[in-house]
Amino acid sequence: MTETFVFQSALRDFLRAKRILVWLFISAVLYALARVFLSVNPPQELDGAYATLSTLFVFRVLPLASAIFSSAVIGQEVEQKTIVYLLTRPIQRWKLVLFRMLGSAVAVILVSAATLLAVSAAVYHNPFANPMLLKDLIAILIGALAYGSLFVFVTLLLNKAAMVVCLLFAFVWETAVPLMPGSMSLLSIGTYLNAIAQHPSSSESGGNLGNVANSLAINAVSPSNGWAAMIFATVFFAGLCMFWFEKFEYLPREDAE
Amino acid sequence: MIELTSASKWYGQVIGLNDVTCTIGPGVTALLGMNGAGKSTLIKLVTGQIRPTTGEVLVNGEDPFANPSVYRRLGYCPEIDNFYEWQTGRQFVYGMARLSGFSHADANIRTQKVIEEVGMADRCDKRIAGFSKGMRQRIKLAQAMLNEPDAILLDEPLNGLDPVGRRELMDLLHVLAEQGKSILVSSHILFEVEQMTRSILLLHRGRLMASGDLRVIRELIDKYPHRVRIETPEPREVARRLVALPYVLSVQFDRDGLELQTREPSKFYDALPNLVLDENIPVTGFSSPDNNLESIFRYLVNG
Repeated sequence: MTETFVFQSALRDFLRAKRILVWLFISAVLYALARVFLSVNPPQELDGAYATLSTLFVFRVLPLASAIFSSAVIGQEVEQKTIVYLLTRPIQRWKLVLFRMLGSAVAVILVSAATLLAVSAAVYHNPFANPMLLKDLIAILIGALAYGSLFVFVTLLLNKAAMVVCLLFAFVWETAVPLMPGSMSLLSIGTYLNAIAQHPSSSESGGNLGNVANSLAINAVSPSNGWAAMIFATVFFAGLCMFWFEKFEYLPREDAE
Repeated sequence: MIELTSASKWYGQVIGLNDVTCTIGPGVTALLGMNGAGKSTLIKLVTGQIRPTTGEVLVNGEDPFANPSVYRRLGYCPEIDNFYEWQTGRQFVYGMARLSGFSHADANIRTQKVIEEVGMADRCDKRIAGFSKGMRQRIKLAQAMLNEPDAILLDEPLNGLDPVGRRELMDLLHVLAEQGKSILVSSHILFEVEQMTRSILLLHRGRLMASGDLRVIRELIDKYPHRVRIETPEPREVARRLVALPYVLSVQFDRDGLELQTREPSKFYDALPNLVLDENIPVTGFSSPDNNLESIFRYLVNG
């Protein structure tokens, strides 16, 4: 009962109009960018064009949203000093972090899904005509959990630098690592999400951007391995978050300094 | 019952609390100390937000750190003035009630009850962002009383309250104390504390400097010369009258009046109104530089 309330109140907080409007605006901008891209590079086949745009837009928004929402799970409470109210309630700390984390994951799924629909609408006009919609939604779902648990752990581990580290991971690491030679790409969450989404090759339809997107979407692993890796990462980092939050002191920012 | 046994807390190289042993039982106990004395550290240890570096802290026989069973019987009104500003006062208290494990219906009932108790029933449906300091203090107090705790810890609860609010809070604390609850109130203002309780814990630079009845501590202090500042337009005339009193030791003149030293402050304070009223000596105000925490610490540390 209390756990449900923790989840619901966290979700309500994450989905406040002020926050959601920003993400809807981003989706609208990405829709416009996708339309411009398609008018400059008229696609030979829609699926290839969608695969390019999905990799470049949707699977960039996913870690970005995850970094931002995850920092609000505990980090924002520490920053605002309201952590005091949470920590002195008769609820186990691991439940607090777990259910708030789930609330943030749902918020990430919703804003990423909005971007997914925007990009699908830009390519197919009717977003539900996208044959890859369901697989991408599923990839977003597991991706939100995996990124979320990793980023929440980073915010529990670091103080001020957490947001910077998460954003660097979301953009620099997740872009650079899949392009590295050898098995380095296995260190990127995006690699496994692409394996789960099973996007077709997009280099032919997207020009240079398609080449980049295709490089990011190299299917170095099978879908089943992708699932196994993502489930393991989610469980591992979520477990670590719960252990860490239960074990260590969390004081409001000013007190901690 | 709250027990600290040789409890110390270090923040890196800085010591927050140094080898404190004390017991806090039913009734109101004041935790006195200047800023940085370790009051908030002690409260954070008791509320289980932090762990002692050495020693032991027990609340009803249990370690409070991250311990929900302790929080079921503990109310905490923090010093911080931070809230979820977009919420109304009622939403905030209701949310805290739900986090305390109450169902929707029970949480609503409890919320209404505590909001009435702190005198916020007519104002709690406004956003917290628009609350005055006093209203915020009341809302913090309301959330601390939600679960009818056995022990309530209030960190500087009188900050920002107007005189009526202070009186109401003090009355409320007395009622709670009479119900057998252990109440720990931190403050750095001696005058406030004297109106609430005689039982004090005096912290200075992390150490427990004195504990027990404030009156006894005062009597000890009163054995030393006590300074009183008198504001008057006629300092020479006033000084002439006052030095005639047997317990006035010395008089010094300054710009707006004079400062005297007395060996028996209680007798002096008894005599002063009579001098002003009966003999018509022109006194426009008086205060004591020694009637504050700093001077008590000075006496306790230096003798």
